[in-house]
Amino acid sequence: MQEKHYSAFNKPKWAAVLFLLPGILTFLLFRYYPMVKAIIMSFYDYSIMNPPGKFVGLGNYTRALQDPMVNLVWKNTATIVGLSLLGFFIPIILAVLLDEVRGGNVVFRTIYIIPAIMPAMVTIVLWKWFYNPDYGLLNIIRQGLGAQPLGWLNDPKLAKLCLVLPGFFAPGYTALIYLAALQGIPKSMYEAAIIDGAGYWQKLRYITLPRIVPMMGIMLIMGLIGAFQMFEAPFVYTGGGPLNSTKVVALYIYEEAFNFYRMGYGTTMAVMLFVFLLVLTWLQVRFFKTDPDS
Amino acid sequence: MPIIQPSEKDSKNRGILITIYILLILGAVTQIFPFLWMLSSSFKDNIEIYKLPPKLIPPRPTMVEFQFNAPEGATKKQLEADAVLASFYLLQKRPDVKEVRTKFFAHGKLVYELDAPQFQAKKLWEAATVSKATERQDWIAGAGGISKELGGRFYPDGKNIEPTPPPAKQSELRVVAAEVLTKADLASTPRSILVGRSFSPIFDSYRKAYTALGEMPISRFFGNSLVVAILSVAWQLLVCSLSAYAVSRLVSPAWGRVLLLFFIGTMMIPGMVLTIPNYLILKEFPFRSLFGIPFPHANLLNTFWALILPAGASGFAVYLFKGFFDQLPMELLDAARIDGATEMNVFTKIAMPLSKPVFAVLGIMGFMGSWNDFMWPFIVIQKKELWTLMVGLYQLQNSAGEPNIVMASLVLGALPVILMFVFFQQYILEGIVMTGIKG
Amino acid sequence: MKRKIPVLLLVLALCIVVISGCKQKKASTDEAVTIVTWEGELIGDSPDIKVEREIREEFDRTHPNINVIRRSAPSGEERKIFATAMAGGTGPDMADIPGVDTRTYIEQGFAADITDLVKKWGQEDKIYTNMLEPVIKDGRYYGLPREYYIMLLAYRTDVYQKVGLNPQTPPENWDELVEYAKRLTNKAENRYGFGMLGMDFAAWHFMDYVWQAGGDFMKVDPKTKIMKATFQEKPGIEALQYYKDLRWKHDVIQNNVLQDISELINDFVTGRSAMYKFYAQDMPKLLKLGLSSEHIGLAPLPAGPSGTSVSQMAPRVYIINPTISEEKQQAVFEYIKYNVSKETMIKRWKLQEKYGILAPATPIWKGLLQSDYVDFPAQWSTAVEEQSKYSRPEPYFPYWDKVKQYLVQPIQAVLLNKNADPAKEMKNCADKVQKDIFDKAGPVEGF
Repeated sequence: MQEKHYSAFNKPKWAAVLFLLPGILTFLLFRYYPMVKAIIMSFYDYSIMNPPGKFVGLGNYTRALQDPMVNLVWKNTATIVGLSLLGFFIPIILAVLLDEVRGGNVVFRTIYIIPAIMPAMVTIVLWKWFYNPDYGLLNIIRQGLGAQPLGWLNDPKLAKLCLVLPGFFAPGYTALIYLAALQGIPKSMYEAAIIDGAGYWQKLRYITLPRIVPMMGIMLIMGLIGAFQMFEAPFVYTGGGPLNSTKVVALYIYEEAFNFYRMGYGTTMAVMLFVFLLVLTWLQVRFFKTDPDS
Repeated sequence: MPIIQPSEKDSKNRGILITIYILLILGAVTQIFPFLWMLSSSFKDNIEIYKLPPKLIPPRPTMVEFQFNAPEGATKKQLEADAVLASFYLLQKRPDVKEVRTKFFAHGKLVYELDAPQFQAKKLWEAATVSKATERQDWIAGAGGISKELGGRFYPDGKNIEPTPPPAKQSELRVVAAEVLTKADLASTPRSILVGRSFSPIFDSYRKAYTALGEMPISRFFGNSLVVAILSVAWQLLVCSLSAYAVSRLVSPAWGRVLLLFFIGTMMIPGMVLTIPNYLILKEFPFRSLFGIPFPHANLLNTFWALILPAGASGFAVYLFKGFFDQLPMELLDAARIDGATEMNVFTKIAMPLSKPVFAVLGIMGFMGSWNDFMWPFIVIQKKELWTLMVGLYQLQNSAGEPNIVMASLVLGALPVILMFVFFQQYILEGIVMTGIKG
Repeated sequence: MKRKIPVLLLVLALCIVVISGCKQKKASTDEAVTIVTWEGELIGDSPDIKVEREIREEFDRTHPNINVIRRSAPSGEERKIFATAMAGGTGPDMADIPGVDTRTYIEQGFAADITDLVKKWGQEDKIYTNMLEPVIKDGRYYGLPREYYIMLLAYRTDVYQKVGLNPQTPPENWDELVEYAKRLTNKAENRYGFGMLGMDFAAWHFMDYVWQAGGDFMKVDPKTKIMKATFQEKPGIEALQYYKDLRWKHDVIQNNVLQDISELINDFVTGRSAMYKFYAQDMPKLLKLGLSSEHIGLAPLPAGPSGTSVSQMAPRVYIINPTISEEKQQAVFEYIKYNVSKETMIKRWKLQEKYGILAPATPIWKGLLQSDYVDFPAQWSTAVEEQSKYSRPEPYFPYWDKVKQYLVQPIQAVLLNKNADPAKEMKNCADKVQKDIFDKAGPVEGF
């Protein structure tokens, strides 16, 4: 499809080289070189003051496999990712609802998108305030309803849910992606269905939803890839507490590297995370290929 | 396309439509409420903010007005000193009083007035105080300057304003204010003390966040974030558009495929893996030595370079650009080449203007990404003067930040993103759709 | 024309390298030595800043060839940020750190060996030996402490009066503390009696309770010289039980048990809490946030089952960056010498008194007494005097800071979980400490 793009004109080779040079340098320096460095570092007991320190071979990897904390942080991460899936259908429902709106479309879109594009830090600090067991809004509401106040972020059982809950209230961004897909469904399909006597629910079930299943697959995996790298939320909400219940992989990597000065061990776990995410990405690429729109 | 077609407006479908609207409106409330809450809290003071049950509409701040009879033949200096003493003593004693106004009358005419807002007064009295024991003398000595700073107004010929008679109803605050006046031992004699409401102190938390009394210069962080976001975006657009153009138009298809893979392959590398090595690379940028030969290097940590340079490597941007450049009509580009234009000219004069939408989408998305980023700036910048707003917000909520200042800062943090949306709605929506397609 | 942009880019890239390179060179050729310190910036006119500014001006006058740039180590995160900066080669030339971290920083190579400088100075004999404990390792000096602070109980006199308590008779023991806290707690007014620290450095406050209950944290086995955990014995459990009761049985502390010290301070200032455990460096913060000193009452910590009100003495320590030039290290040492000197100490107290923010402190110099130079409000000075009798320095056995991190687990467990068993939690923690830290550390000397 793009053979023609190479014009008949004989362009000097060095023009291409000069155009490419900044890009290649930047990508090499900030993506490939650090990637290689990470892999190399994972074989060292890296010393900050005297790099690279002692070569330990696979020592870091065997240590990670035996570290009970690694076990725990992966379990925590998986649980949190699982909880975040509870909100998976919210944007889809929102998109289906928004799809019906004619007048006032812009108003609704604006209202729903703003919480979703807010800086994460703003949302987190605000929600941390809502969660406060003493004067936070959530407990005030609960007490207003006559329910017992909860510990929220203070409660090891609830803390994980607290990290993902704000996301459920900001479905706008994802919803608009679905909405775009919904709006691409040809009118003729619905009209044909009407002739066949299909009502709202039948059309939703047999025409609308099947058309966005591939998109759901992509969003699911993108969401998973993002969620497995979650850092800001646990870092700011709880710092990994209470009782390590929200210590996730990224947070553990950060702490090992920058708190306990074990950069080699930190990168080792990062490389392991990379391998894991690579599998997810591979799945995504497969979904991508089945997407009829691409 | 909406599921319910315009042709089928029967009662059943109308019911569904109404339900949909009700659900959307209810949902919209949950979307707006947190922001309103934030806004409302930022207008409260630090005692009001903890009150139960909380109010969504912040109460108007308390103001106390003193009216005095100026002593016969009083000098300017005396009046200023009295005004400053009365205001400062009361403001110091009662932090919940947000503003003190003093008015001096001679022969039934207003001769001097001074408004002292709590927020400014505190800074001024701290600056004027030489020591705790001598604060009274210090304030008297500095009264002239303080009055000037606060915009005290003299009316040499007197202004025709009727003094207010003292209100009949006694209140707790008036009693306290009267006590303060007795202790202050002024030259002027008080006529009446009024307790009222004032509007402007409602913005005190923003004023404080703006100056932040020097400790957490939110305005500075705000500026840093702007600079970093703009430069990062510019750098990213430059690097990625040039590369994408070359991949799309300047190299053979075979090379194009290899190079495209080189660029977009980086999208698979999770940020977490790069954090630690990138940190160490920036420490000795670009390398300490190349194959054993010492290489000139610099420590870019704690500089904006550490935030800007890595932003250039965006596989997603190359991918989008390339897709767009592929669709540019070949004839147009070739026509320019026939006229003898250089490749750079073809790019800047023809390809770029035609690609405005993709530049806009990537520019805005990049700006918001950079503005919202926290982890990387938090790790590479320890110097407070260089913190971005998100790092500042984190530190502020972490370090005894007064709650209303935190809230005001949150509003400031959200503002550019909201403004961006208002002005560039179209591009953001396009960008969202493109992110979806890219997967 | 064709080449313009890429060429410009190359030039730009080169410029970055060159400019940054130049900057570093410049600094070393300047005649005056410039040193960067992390000890808080001098911005604004609040009383504490005025004190430090005057002290600093004196230094600038007497040392014209040393130019000090003060920056702040961000609070709350100071440890993480310091470590990150040191690892990145952007650490300060001098840092003012919590004494308890000194050991770890020495191990990491973040603190320069300044033995020669200290010996040349020749004043170390005039300092209390035990106060130098945190900065000495294997007979070498790695820093200098300035002064020690003790912990006290702070309470709101106005809130006491409001609920009918006498501000002159603060609680004297654990039971009275509970009783007072109960009367001060008022859920309708959104106020709780006693602010308690349950977050990451909860053990900082907890340590005093263990001592007050008559316990300790470790003893050295006389034969093997291996450290043995002792906090899981009866007094430690008793202290933990007390925490648990305050939270669940009496319900007199904040619900947000994980809030950090700055939030405790905010609560105290806004009257959301009526008492909290006070660290002398909090005083300027309280005043700065707008609390009037008339409303602050200070008292010795309530005594525990052992009958005494033990409190820790905690220093701030100055350390020097080991990667800087010798010339710079000398300049930094000059600055440290000035800061810890008797004269500066006295000057600081006098200034603090002048601005009404005098904080109780224990100087490192033998025979130097704060009360000889300045006057406290009577009620405060009695409290300080009384508390000083029972103060003891934090334990500086190796890895004490790590043990503290382990102790957070049982503390949070009883604060967060109604059904947690203090004895069991302490036992688990002690087993872990023994296995992960003490046994690995091997034999220790001098304890």
